[in-house]
Amino acid sequence: MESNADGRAGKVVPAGANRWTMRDVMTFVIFNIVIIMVTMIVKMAEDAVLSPQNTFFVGSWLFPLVSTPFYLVMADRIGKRGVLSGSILLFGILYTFMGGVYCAPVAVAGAVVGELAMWGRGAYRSIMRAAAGFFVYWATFACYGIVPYLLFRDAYMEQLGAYYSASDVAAMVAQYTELPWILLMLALFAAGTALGAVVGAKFLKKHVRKAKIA
Amino acid sequence: MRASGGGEAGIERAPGEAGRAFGKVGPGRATGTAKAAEAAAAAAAAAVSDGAALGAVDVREGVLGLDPRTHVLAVAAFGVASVVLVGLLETALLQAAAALYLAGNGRARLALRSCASFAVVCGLSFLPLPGLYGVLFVSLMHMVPPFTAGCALFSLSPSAIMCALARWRVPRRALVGVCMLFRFASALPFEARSIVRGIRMRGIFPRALDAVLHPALVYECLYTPLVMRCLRLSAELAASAELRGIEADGGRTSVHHVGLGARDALVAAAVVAVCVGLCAGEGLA
Repeated sequence: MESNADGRAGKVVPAGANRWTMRDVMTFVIFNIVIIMVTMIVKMAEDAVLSPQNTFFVGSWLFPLVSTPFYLVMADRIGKRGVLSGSILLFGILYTFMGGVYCAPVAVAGAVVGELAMWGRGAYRSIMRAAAGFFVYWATFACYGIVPYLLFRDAYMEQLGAYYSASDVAAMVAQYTELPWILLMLALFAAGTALGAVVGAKFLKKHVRKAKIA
Repeated sequence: MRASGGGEAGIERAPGEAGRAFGKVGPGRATGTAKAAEAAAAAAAAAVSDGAALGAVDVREGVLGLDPRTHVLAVAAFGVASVVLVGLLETALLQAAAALYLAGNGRARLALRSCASFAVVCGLSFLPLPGLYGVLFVSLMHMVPPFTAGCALFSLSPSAIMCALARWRVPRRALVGVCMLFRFASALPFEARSIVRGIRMRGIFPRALDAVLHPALVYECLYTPLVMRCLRLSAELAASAELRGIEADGGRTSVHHVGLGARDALVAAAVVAVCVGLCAGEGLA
C-alpha cells in the first residue's frame, strides 16, 4: 500500500509506515475528546446567550475557529490515513448515542468524502489540505442539523408548535431546510475553518514544533 | 504512570494462558531497556496470580446485568422513539422506561437523577421566554431518554466494553481507542482545571474583566498547555499500554459479565416493544 505517512519532499516512506501505532491511537482519541469538549463548551455558552435563530450565525464560524488549531496538531502528529474519517465517525457516534440515530449514516458518508478529500501523500501534514479536510468534518456536522429537519420536519414542528409560535418555528426550520441558508451556513463553516487554520498554523510553528514534541 | 488503555490491573487475562501471562504483557515488546524488562516481568508475575484468582468471576451490574451490546440496541431504540414522539406524556413515559432500564442495570441513583433532570428541563421548556429561547429545552427534553439508556453503557467498566467489542471482532486499535475515550473523557476536566489554576497562580489575568477583554490571549494561554499536556499524555499512555500488554495476542476476558443470553433477548424485545407501543399509541391517538 502506498503510504502518505510523510509527505516531506524526497523522503522515502517505508512499507507499513501508514500503520497506526499505539501512540497514534492515543493521540487521536485524546485530541478528538478535546475537540468535542471544546465544541460542546462553546455550544453551551452560545445556547445560553443567543436564541436558536441567532446561534446559526455565530456557531457556524465559531466552532471551527476554536477547534481547528487542535485538529492541525493532531493531523500533523499522526499524519496517516484515517485521521479525518475517524474523527468524523467518532463525532457521529457520539451524536448517535445522544439520541440522533440518523447521524450514523450521515457520519459514514462524511467519513468517506473526507478521506477521499485527503487522498494522496503528505495530505495531513499540509496545513491547507488538512484545513480543507476539516471543512468536510464541519460540513458533516452541518448535515447533523439539516438531515433531521428533512426526515422529521413535521414531527419536529409539531413538537415545537406545542410551545412556541408557528411563525418563529417556521423561520428557524427554514434556516436548515432552504438552500440559500444552507449555503450561507457552509460558507460560515469554511470561513471559520480557514481562520482557525491560520491561527492553528501560527501556534503549531510558534509553540508545538518549537517544543519538538509533535 | 497513569492507567493504560487496557489497563485495569488484574482484570484482563488470556483464557487458559495464565502461565504465559500474555494477558498483561507482550514479551519483549515494551521498551527494550533493562528497567522496562524488569517492570514487564513483575507485571507478568502479577498477571499470573490475578488470572488464577479471577478465573470464575462473572460480575453483573444490577438485576439485569446485560451485555454492553444490548445497551447499544436499547440506546438506538430509545433514540428513534424520542425523535418520533411528539407528545409530552409519551416522552415522559419513554423517559420512565429508560430510567427503569438504567435502574435494572444497577444504576438506580443515576436513573433517579436522570428523571429529575428530565423534570427540570421539562419545567424550563414551559418558561415564557421571548422568541424561541426555550427551544433548547424542548430539544434537550427529547435527548434525555436515549441519554439515560446510554448511561447504562457509559457507566460500565471499559474492560467489559472492550471484551464485548472484541467478541464482535472489532480491531484491537479501535478497542484501545474506545477504552481511552471512556478513561480520558473523565480526566480532561481535571487537566483543564490544573491549567486554569496555573494561569491564576501566574497572575496572567488578575481580574475576570482582563480575560473578557483579551479572548485571543485567553485562548492561546489555554491552548498551548493543553496541547502540550495532550501530546505528552498520548506518548506516556501509549508506552504504558504497550508495557502492560495491550497488543498481546489471545482472547480478552473480563470479570464483568459479557455475553448475550436469554435475558438480553427478553429485555431487548421489551425495550423495542415499549418504544414501538408508545409511537403507535401516539399515532393512533
